[in-house]
Amino acid sequence: MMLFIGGRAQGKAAYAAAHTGCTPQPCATPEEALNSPAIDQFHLLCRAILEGGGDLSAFVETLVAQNPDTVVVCDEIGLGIVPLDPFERRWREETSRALCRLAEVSQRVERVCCGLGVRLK
Amino acid sequence: MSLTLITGGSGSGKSAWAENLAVALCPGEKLYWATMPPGGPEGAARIARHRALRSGKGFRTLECPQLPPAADLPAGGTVLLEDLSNLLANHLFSPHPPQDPAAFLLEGLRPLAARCGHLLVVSNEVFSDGIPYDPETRAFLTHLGALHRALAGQADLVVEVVCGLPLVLKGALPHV
Repeated sequence: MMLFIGGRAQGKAAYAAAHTGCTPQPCATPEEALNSPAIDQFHLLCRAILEGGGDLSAFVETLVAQNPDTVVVCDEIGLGIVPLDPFERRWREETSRALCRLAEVSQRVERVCCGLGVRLK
Repeated sequence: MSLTLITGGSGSGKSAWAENLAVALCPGEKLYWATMPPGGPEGAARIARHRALRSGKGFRTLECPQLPPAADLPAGGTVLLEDLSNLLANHLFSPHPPQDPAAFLLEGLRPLAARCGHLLVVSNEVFSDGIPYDPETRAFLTHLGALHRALAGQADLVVEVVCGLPLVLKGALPHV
């Protein structure tokens, strides 16, 4: 697995495509993600799962088990003020924890800023 | 000419770091291109803080909220643009905003960078808070992100300042 994170509009998907050969595509459902070679906008999938009442950490374990070679591209969303709204709070925290788990099993993790990657792992 | 992009969060020390880099590159007179339109006590206090920060460092100040004519910049000189996000906002939220603000500013900055010996561009890292903003703010972030990527592509040096320390994303710090 490979993980590419960073702020919005930083060119993460293009960077991941250039460095992995797979063009990341957004996945609307968990099933799509389980079969995708490169997942874009992972933070929006996390949001959709939580909105639908799903268990995000269980999904992440399934992803790790069933699609261990995928490329994941995700916005960092936890660097602002912790929001008052409970759902917004939960989305940030659970998405960030999901990234920690994916980073654990990834052989390569990069943070992209201004279109430039910094390798974290 | 050399182009440097300096980004960082609020209070990261990016301005002071950029000023010190400018001093190291050019001990003599430099130009500080201030883009912030004065308005309100908080803005005035911010401007006063920045003035005090750079006093005695050899900066002449050009207050210009939008792109200046190239002739306003010293040929072969060192120019510190503070900051790119303000410059974008001033153009984007003007009565006649450009069709593609990122392309417009890139096009406008090119001859300015070519005229300067060193152009140092300070900007803001504002992309990672997860807030689903209103369409205007989202558009601003998209344009600023595009500007960062394009300028980083052209730049000799790209630095994210964290706690006042440079995290080099591209190029190498000059030995000065």
